Amino acid sequence: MVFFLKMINLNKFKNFNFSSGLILLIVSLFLLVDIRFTEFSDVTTGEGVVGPKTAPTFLNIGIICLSILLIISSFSNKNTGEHLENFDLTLIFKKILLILIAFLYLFLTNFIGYLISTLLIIPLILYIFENKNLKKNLIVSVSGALIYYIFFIKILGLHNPDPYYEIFNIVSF
Amino acid sequence: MEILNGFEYLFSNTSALIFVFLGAVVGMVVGAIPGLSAAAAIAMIVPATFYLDPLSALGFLYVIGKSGRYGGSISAILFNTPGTAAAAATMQDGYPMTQKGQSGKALKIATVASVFGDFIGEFILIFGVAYIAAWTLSFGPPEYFAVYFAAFVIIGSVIGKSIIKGIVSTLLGALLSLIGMDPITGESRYTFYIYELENGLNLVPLLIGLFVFSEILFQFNKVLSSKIKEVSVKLDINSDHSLSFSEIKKCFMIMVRSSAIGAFIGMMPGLGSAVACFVAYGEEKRRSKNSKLWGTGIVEGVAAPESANNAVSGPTMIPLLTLGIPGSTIAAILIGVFLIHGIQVGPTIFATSKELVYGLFACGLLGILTYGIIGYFFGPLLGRIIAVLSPNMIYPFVLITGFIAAYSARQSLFDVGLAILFGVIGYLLRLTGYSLPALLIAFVLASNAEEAFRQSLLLSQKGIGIFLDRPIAIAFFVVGFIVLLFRIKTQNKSMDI
Repeated sequence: MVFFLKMINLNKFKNFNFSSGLILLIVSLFLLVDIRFTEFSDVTTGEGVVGPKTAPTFLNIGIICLSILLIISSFSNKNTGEHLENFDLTLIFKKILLILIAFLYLFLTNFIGYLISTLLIIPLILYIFENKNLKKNLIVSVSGALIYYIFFIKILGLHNPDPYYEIFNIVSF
Repeated sequence: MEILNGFEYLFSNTSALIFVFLGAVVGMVVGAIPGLSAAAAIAMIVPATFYLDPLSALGFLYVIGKSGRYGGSISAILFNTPGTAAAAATMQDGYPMTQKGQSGKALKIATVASVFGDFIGEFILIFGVAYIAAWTLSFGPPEYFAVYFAAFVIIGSVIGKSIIKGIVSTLLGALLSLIGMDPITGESRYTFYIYELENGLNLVPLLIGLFVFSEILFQFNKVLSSKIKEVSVKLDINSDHSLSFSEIKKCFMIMVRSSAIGAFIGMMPGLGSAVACFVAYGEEKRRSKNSKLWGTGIVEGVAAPESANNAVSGPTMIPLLTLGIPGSTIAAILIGVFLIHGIQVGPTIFATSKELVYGLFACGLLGILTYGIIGYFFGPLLGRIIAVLSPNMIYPFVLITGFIAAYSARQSLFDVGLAILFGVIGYLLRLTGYSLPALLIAFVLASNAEEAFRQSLLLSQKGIGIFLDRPIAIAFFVVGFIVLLFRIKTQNKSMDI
């Protein structure tokens, strides 16, 4: 991963006008093609002039034009004031880890229910945020998960997601 | 005096009174925590308000927005870290006052100025909004489309540093709102055969993703580098914490002028508190005979931005209530809450839900008074508590709360996945200079804009020529283009498109 990141010449990405413009151009072209090739009935739209395709078409064309302008501006405008400051690989890895943990939490909640997944996930997130006192983290996790459970599920009446594996119903209350 | 009926309606609802008080406290605390904006707090609280009556729900969120703006000044003054972007100008003189041992005095003048500005803004809203709404009642679909068009152009071009990126953000928000069933034909657009997308994107996961998860990722560096943790609180050094009547008198005209600036900027969609406080600070510094003293820790330097910052709050509701156009992120969230409770926002609201609207105004006035009293007497105490709280302990729980809030909107784990996805997208958009408020406001407005456009063309015998037959519609198109041209002209000087 580190090798891969080093392979990328970061200078190319210092100007976000180019990179963001390129991504937007690709996405909006895809969405434009998608909407143009989707078949809609024109029964309720009179002559078919103002059908479901109209707004998406105009919006995508707008984004395409502006993203092209952004790409062009990245070559002519050297001083955009936008650049990667304090590029720190460790921080980037931690952020990616945090996003993965959020998805893991989602996945676990789906399979083993809310309570156990929350008890497992809170210590992980606390650790990522550099709370390294294990004992304190465990106490905070257990009390935090229970407070959330009582407040959201018992007081506010939120439906507890049913765990995929029924065995976990025992602890999902 | 409809506002008196509003108070009667509010005082007959005990739950609403409790939530106004709660809103004042929650807003102050959230606003005072650096990095955690009132918009993020409101986004997390929105699902909990589904279970409340409309006045309690709207009053709660409205007051959080108001006191959150004020709360930002506490950390700006005490820790040299603005709790909200709107409090950044307050730091200029607020923190030097703390360094001089006058933190109590600075907090008190910030409270007085915020309350003053907020009252001015609220009164402008209360006494002005009904007249504007009566005028906009005559609008048909072509006028509405022109209003939406002008709002998109104005918000897109003024809300961020870059005009192009602001407008792209607006177009992206509009595009996101098209996901799901077409409002006229009922056919699916951009659902990619995903069943959960058939009813469109829900506002709550979008809010949580863009304003909570992306904020966590954005603040991650600061939290870990302990920039927030290492601040010191100098509350007990020296003894000059009292605010004299002569000091308030000295600031009175400054507060009047700054409130007027704030209220005017508040009425313009997209500008908001951050712009208002810097404009007011700059203007008062320019007018001052002792301009060299500004920035060294003087009460005038706190009074000006704080009055302007809070005077924005009421007038941002004017475009929302008269035209259905949210002028700020918080107003955009409120429009969603109105809709959740089955209330259509726009000029007809004064005919259909007059009692609720004036009840909401009463909530605003009571909320200002509540946070004013709490802030004046307990502001320093709140500062001490915030200083003890460790951001690296707060943020994990903000993440978990956001997760539950995203789930609770429709009790759907798919929405949680969407919130995480929008968190990543929002973070990348912010990192690369795009505007999340513009995206959100466009998301809220676009489906109505599309409907107005299509209704106009269906009514028309000559296509888009219908817009040229309507003088009001032409006026709004012209306003949009003038603002855009003005922004392009001013932007060219800074060479940042």
